[in-house]
Amino acid sequence: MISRPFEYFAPKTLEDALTIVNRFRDEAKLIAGGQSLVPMMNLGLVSPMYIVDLNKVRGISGIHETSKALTIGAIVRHYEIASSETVRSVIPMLSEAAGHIGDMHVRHRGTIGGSVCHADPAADYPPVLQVADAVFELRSKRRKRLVKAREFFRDAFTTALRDDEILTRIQIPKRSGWLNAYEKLEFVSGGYAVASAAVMVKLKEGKEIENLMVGIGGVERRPLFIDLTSEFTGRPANGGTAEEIEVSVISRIQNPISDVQADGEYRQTMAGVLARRAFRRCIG
Amino acid sequence: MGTTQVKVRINGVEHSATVDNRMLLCDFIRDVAGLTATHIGCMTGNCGACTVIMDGLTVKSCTLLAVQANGSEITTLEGLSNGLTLNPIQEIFHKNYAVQCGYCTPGILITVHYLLSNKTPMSVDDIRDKLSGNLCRCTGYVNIVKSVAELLKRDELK
Repeated sequence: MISRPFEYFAPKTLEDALTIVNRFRDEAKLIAGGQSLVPMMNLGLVSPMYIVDLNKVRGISGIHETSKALTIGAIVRHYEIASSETVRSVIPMLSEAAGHIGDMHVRHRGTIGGSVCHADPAADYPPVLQVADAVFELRSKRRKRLVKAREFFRDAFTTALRDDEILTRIQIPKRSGWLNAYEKLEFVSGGYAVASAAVMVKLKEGKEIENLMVGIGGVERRPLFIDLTSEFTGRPANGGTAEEIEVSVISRIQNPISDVQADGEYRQTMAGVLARRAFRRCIG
Repeated sequence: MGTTQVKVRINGVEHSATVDNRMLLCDFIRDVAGLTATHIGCMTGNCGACTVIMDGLTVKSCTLLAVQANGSEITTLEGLSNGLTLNPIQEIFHKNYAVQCGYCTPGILITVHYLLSNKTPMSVDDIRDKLSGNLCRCTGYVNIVKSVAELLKRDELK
């Protein structure tokens, strides 16, 4: 046994879970899939005093579709999202992103809520959820608040989630007529993104761009959301425009990460390439 | 502080113990249940040597706390054969020499068992993708993938 001793709680209701986090605050760590947390504990990078296991909490699982939105519970696992016909039909880039996470075993266990709250800069969901304008439901003992994915990610491994809050649901608005795709560069199968791009586009009469949004993961310390609508409205949906999108995305990246996997300039360049590829897949 | 009563069914046998909360599932399987086919490689969820089936899904048992497996049903490599004869997956791995040092083999055999029991058709690319969570640093996967393809083909002929 490597990690230091801790107290373990497995509440069955959200109310109980909130009571525990309200009491222990930043000394408590929430666990769902544990696919990042347990390895980090094994490596001695985190040593929580209290572990609150959300796996048995009722009401924070399941994928639900209404006429206006897709709601995904915080403890829905990656394989459920990757294999859900509902997700695939409403927002295909989300199932693509889920299918790119880690490997099959990791996807069997890891959850969407855990992934977004961990906020690894190279995670697959954040750029997709920003582009899709997802809203996170954060609950505390006192209140419920809704935070947009575009405002949730503050820095590497840092989010808007407060230490008395639990992410319970993710709502993704349904939009008709939008095309979307996700592209990822990984050096080994199951690896974190060296760079990734989520693209969502709305075309007028199938020919010219009406709206265009790009999300970039793995490149800066937090996922980038780039609204290219004003720059590209009215432009033809073709390969030439795709190349201009590539150039535009590259110019928007300010502080790319350099590390052992790749230097910043390479990441920045590939972000543009991936955005181009994703756009081309959108327009078919 | 820091201990919990844990009850887990492994290969159909119930194992119950009061364990340290920080005990990992892989340590419970090896040290409490005494089933040492499940290997521990990296402890970071990368290598897949510790792969087991928990409630019908493959998981890496070094990324779960033993307390999280409380009440669950687990299959390890020991559950796939009687310990005296090789099961069909092991036989084909043996025939094709799909092992070298053998350290990763338990996790790979469990993964292959899971894939075959799902009965989904797979191309060679699919096999490689599904096995990408199990690292082998000796053989380069050729004979492993070949063995899985043979098993799938045999299942199709049935």
